[in-house]
Amino acid sequence: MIDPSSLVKVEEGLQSRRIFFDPEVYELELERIFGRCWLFLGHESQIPAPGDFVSAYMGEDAVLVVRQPDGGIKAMLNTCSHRGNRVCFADSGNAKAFTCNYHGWSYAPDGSLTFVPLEKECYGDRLDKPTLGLNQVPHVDSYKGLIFGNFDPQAPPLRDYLGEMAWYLDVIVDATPAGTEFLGPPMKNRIKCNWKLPSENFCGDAYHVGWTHAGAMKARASFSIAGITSGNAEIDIAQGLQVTMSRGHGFGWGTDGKSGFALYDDPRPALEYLEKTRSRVIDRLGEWRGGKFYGSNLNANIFPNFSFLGCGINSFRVWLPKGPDEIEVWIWVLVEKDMPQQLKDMIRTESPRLFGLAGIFEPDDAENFEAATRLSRGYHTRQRYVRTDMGIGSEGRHPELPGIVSQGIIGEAPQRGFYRFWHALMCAGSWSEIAAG
Amino acid sequence: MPNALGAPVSRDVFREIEQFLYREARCLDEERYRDWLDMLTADIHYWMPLNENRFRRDRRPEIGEHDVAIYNERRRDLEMRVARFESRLVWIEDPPNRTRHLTTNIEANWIEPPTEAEVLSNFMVYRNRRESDSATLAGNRVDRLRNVDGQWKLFWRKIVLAQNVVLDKNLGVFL
Repeated sequence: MIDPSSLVKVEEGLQSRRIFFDPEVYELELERIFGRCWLFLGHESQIPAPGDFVSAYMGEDAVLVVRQPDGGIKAMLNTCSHRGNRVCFADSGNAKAFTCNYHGWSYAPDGSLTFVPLEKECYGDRLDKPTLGLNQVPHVDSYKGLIFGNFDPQAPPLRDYLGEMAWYLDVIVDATPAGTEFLGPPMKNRIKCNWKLPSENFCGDAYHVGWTHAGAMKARASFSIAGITSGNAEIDIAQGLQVTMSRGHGFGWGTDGKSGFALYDDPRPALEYLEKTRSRVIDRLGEWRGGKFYGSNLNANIFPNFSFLGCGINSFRVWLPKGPDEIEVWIWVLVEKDMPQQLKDMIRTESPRLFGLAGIFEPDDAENFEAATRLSRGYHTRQRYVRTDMGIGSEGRHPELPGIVSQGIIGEAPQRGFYRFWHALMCAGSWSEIAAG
Repeated sequence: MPNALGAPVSRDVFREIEQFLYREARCLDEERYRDWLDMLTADIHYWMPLNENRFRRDRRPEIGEHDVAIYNERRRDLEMRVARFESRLVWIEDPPNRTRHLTTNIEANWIEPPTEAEVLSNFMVYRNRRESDSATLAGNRVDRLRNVDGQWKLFWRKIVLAQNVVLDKNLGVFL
């Protein structure tokens, strides 16, 4: 079996290129990363009523996420206990039962096996139906509308797993009392790259924005906000900060309070809204979160593969692994429920225009990720390491902010934190071997 | 998809519209985006909704123009996209892609003779770039064309890609 300890040189910020294509590494990731971490499943607004469901993936495991009659949420493997066929092929909907197409075994919305065709005739009384329900995901929990699941009975609770990230996440999901919602179903597509490349990119890579997206920056950003302006590849890198955490979550976030809308065609209605809500958000979340982060440009990743852009672009996505060298991307648009309709409509159209499947920024990244993945296969190439050592040693504790903080929005401390936690999980036999938060 | 179909256009008008679609396809394949913009009206709405796999029994309304869409563009947005191509700073377009837009199954019916027609067509777009990176996208379009001073122009387009998960790394092409 592969020895994962040499795959990342944690202190130097180096990663072996093997981790981006090697099937053995990937198999271990399915067990130790996706089998242990809290994975994003959807937003509660997608399944408001009993029987409402969405399909999701946890690693490569297909799951159904279902609202229960008591208001709770269950997640279960979307595969029949009899011969293993998928029990639900719809992406979303409302179901009184999930019936397998193969032999007609039927499951209630809570996953219990309720009906087996010709049961008496074929099985007599020997079918132990109570033990044959859909396999439940042992832990399902929500953080202010965001639903997560975890396969590992030993995993820490969701709130502990999010750790310091929860305090920051509140700026997105708890800025106003009404909370947030996803607008409609996600955009979905395939990229032939390893799942870690986009995840760590969203975790900390603001460095690439000015260059990878130079064409889009030139076509947009016509209003100069916090140094983000048309044709300017050298954005004001001193503003903002980056944060990394023990569980590998990380982000880069402006502190100007408005740059989240800097790429909008006309950000003025959004800036007026921010102006109007600012004092209420400060009352709710305090000066740092309400005054500085709220409305500022944000790139973030919740380990392992749940990424988002805020506080204006509001593009949320998962990078679902489909083998070591392919992912399926699901992209949603999030809004605050009590935003004026005009602003919701603006985010609904602008978010995909910038970071949707046909967005002006989105297409630039995929090719970078694909080439970095594909080339890692070369026998000599795979012996080498790639680096995230920019600004190494410059991160540290902050008097007011949780996590490990570095100044400026460009740096690689969050990516180092991502791989530090990845390495810890890959080397550990169980959660008990991983140091607490 | 319900369409309030009027009478079919005459053979001569059909020929004009068919040529319009072929010329448009060639503009896109030859990256003559300014010429392409000239084929669109000032009030163009260029729309490509999302798809979702739903059961036939699902009673929710179809995904509409007020939902999140892959393309939901007005002229200003399309001009911005063309400006991006023209910046010469889009590295994924350099070296250039090869694309071929194939247009078939054309039907044209009057909305308002003799100035507005609804045109149905199927498309297949082949895209190839770099060494061996390629994708084929197939779908159909509902177009609305207006005759402005003797020239046909597109003022509304709905693009339906025949895929749920888009089997390409991105959509960098107009369809």
